[in-house]
Amino acid sequence: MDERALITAAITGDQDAFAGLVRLHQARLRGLVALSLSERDDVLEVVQESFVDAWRALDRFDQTREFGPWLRTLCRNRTLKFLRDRLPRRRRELALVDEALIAEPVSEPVDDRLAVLRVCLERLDAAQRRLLEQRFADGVAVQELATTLGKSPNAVSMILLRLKDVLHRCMAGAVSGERP
Amino acid sequence: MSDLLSVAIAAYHDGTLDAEGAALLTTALRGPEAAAVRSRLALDGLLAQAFTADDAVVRSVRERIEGERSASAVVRAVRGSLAVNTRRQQRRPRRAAWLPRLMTAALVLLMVGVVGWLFVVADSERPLCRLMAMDPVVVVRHAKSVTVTPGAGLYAGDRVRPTTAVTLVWQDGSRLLLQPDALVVLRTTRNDHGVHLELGGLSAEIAKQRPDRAFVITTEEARVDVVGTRFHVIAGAQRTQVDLHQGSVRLTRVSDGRALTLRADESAVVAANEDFVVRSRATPTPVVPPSTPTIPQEPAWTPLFSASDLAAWEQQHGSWSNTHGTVRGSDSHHGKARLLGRHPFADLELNCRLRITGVEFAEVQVGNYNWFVEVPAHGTEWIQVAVRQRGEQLTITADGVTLKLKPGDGAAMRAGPLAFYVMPGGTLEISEAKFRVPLSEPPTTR
Repeated sequence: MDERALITAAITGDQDAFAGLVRLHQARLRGLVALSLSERDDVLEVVQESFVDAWRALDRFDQTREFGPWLRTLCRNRTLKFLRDRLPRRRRELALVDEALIAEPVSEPVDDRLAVLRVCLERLDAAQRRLLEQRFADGVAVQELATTLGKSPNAVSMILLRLKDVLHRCMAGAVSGERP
Repeated sequence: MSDLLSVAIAAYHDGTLDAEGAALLTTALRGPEAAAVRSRLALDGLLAQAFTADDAVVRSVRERIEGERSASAVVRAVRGSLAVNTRRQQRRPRRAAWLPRLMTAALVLLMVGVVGWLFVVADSERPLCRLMAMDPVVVVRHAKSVTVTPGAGLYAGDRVRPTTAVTLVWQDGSRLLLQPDALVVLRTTRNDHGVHLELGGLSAEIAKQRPDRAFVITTEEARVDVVGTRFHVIAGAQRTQVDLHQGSVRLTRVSDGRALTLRADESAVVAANEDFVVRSRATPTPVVPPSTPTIPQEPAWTPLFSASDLAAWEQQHGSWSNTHGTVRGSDSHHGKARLLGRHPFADLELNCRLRITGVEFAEVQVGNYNWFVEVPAHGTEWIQVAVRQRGEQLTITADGVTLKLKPGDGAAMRAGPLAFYVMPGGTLEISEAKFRVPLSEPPTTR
């Protein structure tokens, strides 16, 4: 079923069709929210809420327009709301940065940032990918990684910084038209 | 980008940003470098997402909208019922001027109650965690027994008492490994979430939690507040024992509210006749009395495969069948064949017999291809294979000979499901496969 058919079916209450739309758009939405939020669960929560917003508002969606941009607008609003809601609970220093992020909302990326990053990750070797996964997805502390790898925490921090540099350059290259 | 800015970005993500770093970062976010800084700032978040399974969102959204639909149906039903009542009222002769006002007020109160109730219903519709098990587990939900299949969600209030070891997995990756016959009730409140352990033992690996929403394990005697750690809890007859492996937890004695902070490799016991003190795990803590019948000192063996199907397994490649618990896998098109479990293990003892034909070896993979061994074929003979995984120590033997471990996707040992793999053109048979999750402590050395 193509996206148009999925939208038409979802508007009539077909949950499977809506799940199809979620499947189509979730990666791009996660990539979009991750531009403003770094915690994995925060991103998933905001994306989930955005899709629930879309489900509730589906009968108001103008079918002559593109679904993706409409969804991403809902998602950007949800992200801003999340950032604003957490301000009172944040340490002052972190809240200052959050306020700067709120003041300059992220613009629509020209590509699917998550997909580009995944292509760039494939260029790293398995041990490097594993290290990044442990640190950023599993949340393993640098100290703990250092103990596991038999290196100093500073050395692990440097390795992570360099890997992020490599990925950043790779992603920037993809935006400027180079092959990632 | 300057090193100082990179350090400030790292500190922002770690939550350790100081005033100087905040000033540097906010200035950069409003200056000409804003796009580059923003892009760099986003990388940590994108990395976390890159390693997150794509179906996580699909599943959670489905559950939410199913909950929404149930709630909407209740609203429609209530509205319908109210509409009928209102019409009946209109047909009645007017009895008093105050009656409509009173009814309106009652209606408003009723609607407020219904909306509040719907919020509760919507929240309870969201599963707290998922069941990872070899076989379905019977759960008591709303005073009724329901059968929960592996992978399905579990909800607040569910009473879970598995007959074999099962794992409960939260969306943030936290997991509780319940020992056979452990009895837990899932709970959530505005400020915390977790389980109440009525009886038995469980091992916990808790992901980093938000400061305002702790993961809490309660027993009749104690409360364990967790921020992110790995530990073991046994609740017996009026006695709770907590053994901590990593991180720190806050342990509170319910009877008098006294609290202790446990750190790595420390234990404590909450019981009427024992001192409530922190003990080093070098000093052995008394175990729960053997007279407690529900806590097995040595866990029983459990069949790895059910008697007839492979519902708890994912057939990633090739064709797999299960005949009375003996599993056979191959690929008629001479492709590879891989059978991946859905149940993650951290500690594991597995015994099974393998028969490998058509190729020189088959692989037993641990931790979802974290580490693996090549089991050499032995003609058409069966080979006795034993897997012993405790903490970071893994040993796999074939007919008593220790096999060389090979790294799959990384060096650090982690919990994950088992997998069996056979090269193209080969056939792998697995019989008499049984496993158990050891209760004893993992060794401190690798």
